[in-house]
Amino acid sequence: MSLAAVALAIAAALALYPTSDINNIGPLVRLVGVAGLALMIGAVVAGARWLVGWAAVVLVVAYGLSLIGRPSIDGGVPVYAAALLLTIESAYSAIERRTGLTASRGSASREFGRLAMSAVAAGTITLVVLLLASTPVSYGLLVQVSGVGAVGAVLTTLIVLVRQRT
Amino acid sequence: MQRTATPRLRTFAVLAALGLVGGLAAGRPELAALAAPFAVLLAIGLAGSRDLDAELDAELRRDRAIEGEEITLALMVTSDPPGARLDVELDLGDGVEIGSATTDGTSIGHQGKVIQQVTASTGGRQLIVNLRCTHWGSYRIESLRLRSRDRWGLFDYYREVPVALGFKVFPESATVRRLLAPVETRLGFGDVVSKHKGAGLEFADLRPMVLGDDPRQINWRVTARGADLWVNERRPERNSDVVLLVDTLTKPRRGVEMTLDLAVRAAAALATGHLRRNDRVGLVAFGETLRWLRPGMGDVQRYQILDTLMESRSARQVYWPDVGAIPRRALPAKSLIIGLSPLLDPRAIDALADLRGRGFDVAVVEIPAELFVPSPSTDEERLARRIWELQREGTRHRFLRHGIAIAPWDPADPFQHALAEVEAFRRKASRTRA
Repeated sequence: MSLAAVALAIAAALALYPTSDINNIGPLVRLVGVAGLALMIGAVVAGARWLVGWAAVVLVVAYGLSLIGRPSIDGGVPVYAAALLLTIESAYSAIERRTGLTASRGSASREFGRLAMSAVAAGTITLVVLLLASTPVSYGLLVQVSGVGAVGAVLTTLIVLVRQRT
Repeated sequence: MQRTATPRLRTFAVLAALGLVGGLAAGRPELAALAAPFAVLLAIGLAGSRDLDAELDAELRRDRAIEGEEITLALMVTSDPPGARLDVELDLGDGVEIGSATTDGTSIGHQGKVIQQVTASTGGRQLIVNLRCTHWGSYRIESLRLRSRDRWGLFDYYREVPVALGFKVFPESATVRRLLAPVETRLGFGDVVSKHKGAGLEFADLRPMVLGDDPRQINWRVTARGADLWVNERRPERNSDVVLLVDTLTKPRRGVEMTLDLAVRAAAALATGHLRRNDRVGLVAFGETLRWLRPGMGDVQRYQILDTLMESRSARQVYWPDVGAIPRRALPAKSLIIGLSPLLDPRAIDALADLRGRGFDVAVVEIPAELFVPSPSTDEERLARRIWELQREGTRHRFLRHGIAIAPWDPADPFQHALAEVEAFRRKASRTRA
């Protein structure tokens, strides 16, 4: 119950966090955010694990929409990333504890500790990447090609790993 | 063990891809930064995942217990690679629960029928599980399920291990001090004083001595008062045949308890008491399946009766017509038949009356079905309840008219009270007949 409450509370914060100064996008951001929250509530209440992923995607889409037209880099991303990981993990744990269909992960206090550490790690990684991205460099073709190549390499590695292990 | 990806893996993969591609397309570093922890977690979890092989051996330390006792289940859990934390799920039915679980003397947590987070090793880690038997019955653990999850929560491991372990939980039977006295006895030696005269210890009467009488039976005190010789007559100590008829046709229940539980506990108490008195005890369980046990003596018979009662919990729809289906050997002549019935099924009621009609000595302990029926809440329900109670009262009167002693057993009172009431009626009826 407490894990479910944590998941929903953080999901509500994540739904309300993205805002946009652009008139046309503002209501859309809010609408998509609320849809993400509704999906998360549905997932936790109905015990549908498959819905948690969709709720997270919709919340991220809302956040992505809020970034359109923003002149500066959003400094709150590390907190947002940590909160997103926390809400996903809390929602999964709450559902799994209730259904009991999967292997347990120890006591509730141990679970909270693990979640807190994951959130801190996620925030730190995001902060490091954000700091690297904020470093002023001259945007040439080489940098752009490197960026695209890096993203391609990461995605390819992940796809290869997923195909190998599943 | 069978490995399957958890929904986390898919979610993290989608979020990582969405963030990276979205960040690149929109030119926003925030999205790429947001995707980074999910990509890192995914990469570490996938790179570090290994196949997990786990084995499990199970053994029951004993296969019989009495309600309230514990049975020890010893498990040997091995895993490759070692150190895997496994959940062991036991395939237990209602009536058995996990009392405690320990490994190397350390207590392990359990929730419901799952023992959580057992650390396995390559050489094998012994897990001792004490199963608390809360309800009588015949139980069978068909399989044990092993579950595990990798450190990053991306993969679940599962294996079902067939074990097929069976054990029986016997009902806790009350001690019955005074049992029903049978009308007729057998020739075998026992604790029941026969109503016939013969060689025995109990004094019965005096009569003049005739040729052939044992001189040791002369009553010198009476003889001294007159001119003739008088001898003592005695009653022999015999045993009797007792057949327990347990009605398993209807089993109204409230929660875990049902009328059959009370009937089985009463039958166990009667069987123990009569066998201790050197009586031959038989059993007829009449329900969807007719089961019977010829009268016999001793501890072996007691366990056979209990074993047969265990099987009466399983319900199979086989129609049983009447008492004619009971083999003659299961109901010896002159046997005392003690019926244990909630008096709900007319077939059971007719069977008891039919047996009385055939000349058997029948007594009935009524298992109170009223306790298992919800209280009426509306006027219609109250009326229906009154009619039903009148019908039951009519059935009791019908039994009494046939000379069948009947008394209800209130589970709040000792079973002895019901037996005393039945015995009181039998004595009164016996005096009336005399």
